[in-house]
Parts: sequence; structure tokens; C-alpha cells
Amino acid sequence: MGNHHEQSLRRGGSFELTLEGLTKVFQAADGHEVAAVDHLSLRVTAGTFLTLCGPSGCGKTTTLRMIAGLETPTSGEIYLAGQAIAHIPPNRRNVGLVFQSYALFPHLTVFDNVAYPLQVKKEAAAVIRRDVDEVLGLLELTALTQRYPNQLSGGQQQRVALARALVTRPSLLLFDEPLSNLDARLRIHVRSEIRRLQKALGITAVYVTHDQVEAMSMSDEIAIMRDGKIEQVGAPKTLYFHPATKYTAEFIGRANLLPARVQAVEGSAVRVQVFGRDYRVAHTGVAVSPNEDVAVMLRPESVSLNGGGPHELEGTVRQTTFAGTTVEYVVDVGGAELLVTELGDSRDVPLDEGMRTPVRLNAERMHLLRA
Amino acid sequence: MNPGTRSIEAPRWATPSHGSWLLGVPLWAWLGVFVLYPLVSVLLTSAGESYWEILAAPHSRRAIFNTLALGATVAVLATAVAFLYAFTVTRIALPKRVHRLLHFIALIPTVTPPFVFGVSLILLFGRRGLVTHTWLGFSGVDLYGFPGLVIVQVLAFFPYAYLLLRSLLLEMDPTLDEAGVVYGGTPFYVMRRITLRLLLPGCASAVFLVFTLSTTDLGNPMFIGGDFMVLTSQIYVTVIGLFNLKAGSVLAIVLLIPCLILLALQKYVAARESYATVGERAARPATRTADPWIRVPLAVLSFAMAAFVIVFYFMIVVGASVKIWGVNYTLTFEHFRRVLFESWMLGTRAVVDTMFLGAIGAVVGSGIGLLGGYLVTYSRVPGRHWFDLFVTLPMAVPGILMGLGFSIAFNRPPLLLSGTAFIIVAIFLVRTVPYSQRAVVAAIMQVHKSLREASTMAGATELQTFRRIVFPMIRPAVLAGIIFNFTRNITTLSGVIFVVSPRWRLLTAAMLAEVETGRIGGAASLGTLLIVVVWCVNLLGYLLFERKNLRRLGA
Repeated sequence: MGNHHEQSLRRGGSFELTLEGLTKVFQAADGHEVAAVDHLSLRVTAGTFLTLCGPSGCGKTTTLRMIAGLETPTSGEIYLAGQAIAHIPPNRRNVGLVFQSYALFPHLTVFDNVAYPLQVKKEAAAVIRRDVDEVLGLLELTALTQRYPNQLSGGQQQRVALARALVTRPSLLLFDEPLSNLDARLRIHVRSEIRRLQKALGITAVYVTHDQVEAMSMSDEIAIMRDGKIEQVGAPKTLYFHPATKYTAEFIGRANLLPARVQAVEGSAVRVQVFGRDYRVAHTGVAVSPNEDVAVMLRPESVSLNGGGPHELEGTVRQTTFAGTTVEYVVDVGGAELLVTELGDSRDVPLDEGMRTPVRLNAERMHLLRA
Repeated sequence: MNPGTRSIEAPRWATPSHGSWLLGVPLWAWLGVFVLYPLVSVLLTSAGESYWEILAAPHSRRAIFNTLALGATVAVLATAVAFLYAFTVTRIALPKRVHRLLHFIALIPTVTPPFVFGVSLILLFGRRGLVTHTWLGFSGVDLYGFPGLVIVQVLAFFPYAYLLLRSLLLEMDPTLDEAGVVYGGTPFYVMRRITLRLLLPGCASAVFLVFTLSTTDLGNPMFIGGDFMVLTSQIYVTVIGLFNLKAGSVLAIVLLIPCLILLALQKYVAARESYATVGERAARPATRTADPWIRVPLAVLSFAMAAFVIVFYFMIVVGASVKIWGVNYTLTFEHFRRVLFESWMLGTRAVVDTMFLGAIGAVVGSGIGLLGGYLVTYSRVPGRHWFDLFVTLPMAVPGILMGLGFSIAFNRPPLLLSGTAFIIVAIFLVRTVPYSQRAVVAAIMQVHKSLREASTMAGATELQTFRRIVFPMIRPAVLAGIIFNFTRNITTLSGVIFVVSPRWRLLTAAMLAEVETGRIGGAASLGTLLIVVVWCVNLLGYLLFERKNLRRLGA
């Protein structure tokens, strides 16, 4: 590692992270080789908060552990600030990692836990004192410095883990499902806390979670993973409204994927038939030709159960789920089940199971996908 | 990483460091000289055309048969008792203090040489025994031989089975029992169908463990075996009485066979046992049954066992303090005075030598165990898995075989060590390092992987991580190991009987000499001294380490 880079890495700041053809092959118990991560390439621009999101077993944690240095890639390379780091030992990468279990040292106080990364680098006591106090102040832990981890609540342990990851001003901050041990209310709070800090420090962050709500609410960018590969990378809104595949559409948020047939391509729009009606849908770049079977994605909130207007359909309510802010309906339209959400206070007369209801699909929100 | 998968290649920077080599080479040398060389020596001594002749001799055949019969009987009885005792302690509604007392009493035999119970049996049921002679008025009647050995060995060894089964019962998910009751089972039905069933592999392990303890016990067969000769006593008599090293070696090798088979069986069962213990330790204790049909018989049985242990235990103190057992029960310190101060202060020297050598062995043994544990779990020296196998090999080797090996191998050049303190410490080490290393490895495994990773991510080297994170967390286990080693060192007889010498005396060997010359009072007073030393050290250890650690970790 060049001295100049080492200096700049130590100082902290924003750095770009690039993964190139990253592959990790494990040997399964039965002797078969399994590619947990399969030729994965990804660029995380400096200062970006990127979330690796996918179901369990998709390779997101293995990817994170390779970035941290806890796993060595079978092939491929990792660049941090333009520097190949795949074969640098983890203790010389200056990367911060927040563990799922927090991994706080039970025999050390909060202060010593946070001071540990500085102590092993044999920093001067005064420097340690100053840096630890600073980061403890930042995370509002000053009152707890002499406590042991088992004397802290889950949220406090979480903040200590974050403080320990931040104290060396790492070039990169990594999170391995850090909120899964917190209760729902605390999770929302810590979520915004992490995001605020990351923005304030301008530090590049990679976050792993299987929880798409968490991913949506925290990230600049989300990389959806599937079987060791990246399915799609994009901003939360892009993934939500313009998913590239049915997989992404169903993984991010809830989606109605309706079978449709292309009638005609009309410039920047495509005319498709859904439930026997014609709709003009924006052309999303998917090359389609007339009479082709495609899928149309429509989010539950883009379906209306009020009458009036063109293209009205009729359906039967199969299931009603009241969740306070919203109500969810499953409506049977010509044998297909449609998921619909309405605001919880939008009806005076409740729509009960078994009732007939008009159904309108919002063509402007329809998104064309390959079948 | 997914469970059940492992990385195909080691990290590229993971070449063995110089430190690992510095550690690995001396440890391997140690194993070669003090484990393999003595065992090979016995093997070579035993080899020859008269091998089958020796085995076919009537007394050999009888000893083999007796060993197996005694081992099987004691193993089954002790395990049955241990299960009921463990069930009482973990699953029966009794005041908490009673549970603790029962548990504590069961620990006593594990820090006591088993033959202390043998001496007590002589005092209670011998020819001039308190029960047989003084109370019942028999003369010339005793319980020596098979029945006496069964009683004594069950008392001495059931606690090992109990400790094993107790920890399994504590780890068992309490919701399983609860589910059994919720779905309509009576407490007795649940105990039979769920608890005992899940514990079967553990019971098998316990049977194997007690069998090994019984077959390798030398003191009791020597003290109270009478004409009932087993392999260990036969080996002793053959080597010491008949000076027949060759025949002794053949019998010692034969004794090794059941030990190895049992070890293999134990490993096999342990590998299939996993479903009995559900992941982590149960978060909350199991419900304790108050059903009188279970509670009363089990409580009575457990109290009876505990009472037996206590009576046998204190009988030795009484035996040491009265004039002539069975004839004159006047209190006296005569026996203590004689063994301690007569014959050139033999007893005093035995006490001092035992404590001195035992302590050195305990500390050094824990040190080697720590280094070995580090080597096996952390370093990447080639052959470290073999190292684990070889270092734990002596666990399966009967003490008498190891001792015989030492006396053969180190009684001649190039390593003439007979009569030195070193040979005694060395055999202490060989016999305790396996346990120390296992304890260290187990403690290291308890340290969650993510803690080590967190330390690495914080920039620490492997050595820094071990020194600053892992070692402080396993320190209680290491310190407890020192106490354990010391206790084991000073209470072993079979391991040291062939390596003691006039220059270095040990209490256990001195006790055997007293019994052999018929001086039960002397044997009892030496046994009492041994017990006092053990208690002092264990108490000291508890005060120094355990309490402090319990406080600090807030447990």
C-alpha cells in the first residue's frame, strides 16, 4: 500500500468502492462446490449509502464479509479508493464493521470497547482519550463509559458497536443486519440515527439486510441480490416504480403482476390488454412486439375500488385486513387475485368479504415487464 | 457463511508464522518423548511368542473376566443412580438449598481419590468393621471382593455420570417437557417418554465413562479386592511382586483394549447426540415436578446416596482418630503422629513432596494446555489436528499402563529419569494436559467468532486478539484447570505407583504401603491428610478465582 494512500485512508473521508467479478466458492457438506457469490460487480460512489438486499442465502453477507476481509474471494478484486484490497488482511484495511450480534467484548467497559481499535494501533493515551470521547459524545454515550456491555440495553449496545466502528475514522463503514436484534420501535429510531451519522460524516457505507422496508428507508442505492448475483441496482424509488424484473418487483414492496398481451407499440407507449381491456402503458425500454405475452406491474395503491371513469371492472372482495393507516384487500377479478391498499379512514361503509366492488386500474402507474 | 460449508482455500496471508512454529515443534517433541515413547516401550516389552501363553494362563483369564464383570455392573448401576440423582437435582420440586446441598455432596467424590472409599469400606464392613463386627457381632466376615468393590466404585464414580447427565438436563430445552405435559402426559410419562429418551445418548456416554473409571481403578482392587483380582491389581502384583515386566506389559496392553473401544463408542455416540442438547443453554430453568409419586421415591433415593457419600467420607477421618479400630475406639492422634513423624518423617515428606510436585505439575500442565489449545484452534501449523488427537490420547490410556511405560522407558539410557522428581511431574503432565487442552479449546469455542472478527476489524493482529480478547475471557477456565490438575495429580495412585522412589514420596503410594502392611489407622490418617490438602486448595481456588469472576461478569 502506497504511503500516500495509507495517509489519506487514515484521515477518513469519502472513498469509492468497486467490486469486480467478485466470486466466492464454498464447499458444501456433500462435497459440491457452491458459488455463494458469482462474478459480482458493483460500484459504490464516494459517500453513498448502498444496501445489499435479498433473501437469506443470496450471498449478501458473504459479499460484505469479503469487503471486510473476513472472507477471501475465490476470484475477482475489490478496490477501495482505487486500491486493490482483496488480499490485504482485514486488520490492515481500516474498515468499520457493525456486527449483527454487535460483538461487544464482554470483559471490557464501553470506553475500552470503543478505545480498542486505537489501543491495538498503540496510539498515545491522550489521542485515545480525545478520539473516544469525541465519538462517544457523537453517539450520546458519554454517561455510560464505565458500564459493561451486559449492563446496557439493546439500543445502547448498538450505539457502542457503531462508536467502535467509527472511532478510527474508517474509509468504509459496513453493517451486517445490525437492527435485527432490536424491537420494531427502536429499529425505526436507530435507522434514522445511522443514516444521519453516515450523511454527516460523508462516509461510504455498505449495509446488508433482508428487510426491504429497512433498505428503502435508509439507502441512497439498493442492490437487489439473487443467487450470488446482482439483480438490479438503483435508487429506492427507481426500484419501486421501475423494477427491471418481476423478481425485483416482488421483492421490493408488494406488487400485482398481471398477465397482459401487447396490442400495439405506439411510439413511447405500448397498448396492452389486461382483463380484456386496453391500456396505454409507458414504454420502459423492454423491447416488445405485438401479440407478445408480457406482465404488467401495478402497486396495490394504484388500484382503486371506487366506481366511475373508463375501463371499470368488477370484482369480489375475498379478504380484508385492517392495519390502521391502511386497509388491504384481496379482490377476485375474473379469477385473478388483485392486491389493493386504501387509506384506513377512506370509507364510511366498510367493504366486507364477499361484497362486489368496482375496480379501476391506474394505467399511468402500470409498469411493463417481461412475462 | 452458510452453516455446513467451509472455505475451500485458506486466506492467502495465512501462512504459519514463526510463533506458531516455535510453539508447534516443542509440543510435538514433548508428545513424542513422553507419550509415544513410553507406550511403544510397553508394546515392545510385551511382544514375543509367549504373548498368548500369558493371556491363556488361568489367572489372566480370570482377571480379564473379573474386570469386565465389575466394570459392566458398576457402570450400569452408577449411571442409573446418577440419572435419578440428576433428575432429582434438576427436575424435582425441593427447596433450592436442598438442591445445592445434593449437588455439592455429589462433587465430593470427584475431588477424592476413589480408594478413600475403599478404606472406609474396610472400616465399616471389614473383618473388624463397625457394622460387620462391632454392631452385628460377626467375626471373620467382610464385604471384600466383588460386592464391596461394586459398592465402593458406585459411590466413587456415580458423580462423574451425574455431572454429565446434569449438564445435559440443564441444557435440554424446557419447552420439550412442557409440551409433553401440555399434550396430556403425566409427569412420570413425560420423564420416561421425553426426558429419558432424549437423555439416552448421554446415559450411554455415562456408562462408557464409568466403565473406564472402574476398569482403570487400582486402589480399590488393591485395598478391598481380596481374592477378586482384576487387571489393574493383577498387573501390580505381576510387576511389583513377581518382577515379571513382560507379563505385566501384556496385561497392561490388554487393559488398553476396552478403554480404546469405549472411547471410540463414546465418540460415536457423542457425534449422534446433538439433538439431545438444543443449541444454547436453556434461557430459563425447567419446571420442577411436585408429583408425589416421582418426588418422594427420587428424593429418598438421592438423600440415601448423599448420606452414603458423607458417611463413607467421614468414616476415614474417624478411622484415623481412634486407637485400634474394632477393638478400642478411644480418640487419639497416635496414627497421625506415627505416619507423620516416625520412620524418618516419611509421612511429612510425602505431604510436602505431594503438594510440591502436584503444584508444579498443575501449573505447567495448564500452561502446556493453553499453548496446545491455542495451537489447535488458532495457528495454522501443519499437523495441528493430529496434535489434538495425540495430546488427548492419554485420556484413553489407563494410568497404570502409562506409569508402566514410564518405568520401562525412563529406567534406561538415553533418558534415565527413574527416581527423579522430573519423572513424577512428567507423568502428572501427560495425564492432565489432555484435560487442560480440552478445557481451553472448549472455552475458546465459547468465545463467539464475531468477537474475534470484531477485534480483527479493529486492526488487531492474531496475537493481540488472543492476548487481549480471548485470553481474558478464558482465564477463569484456565485457573479452574490449575485446581483441577492439582487435585488430579495428588489423588492419582495408578499413574504414579511405578515411578515413586525413596527420594520422592507421594501420599497415595504411602497409603497403599500402609494398607499392605495392615495398618488401617495409618492409611486412614494419610487419607485424611490428602483430603484436607484437596479441600484447602479447592477452597482457596474458589475464593481467589471463582468469586471474583462471578462478580465481575455479573453472573
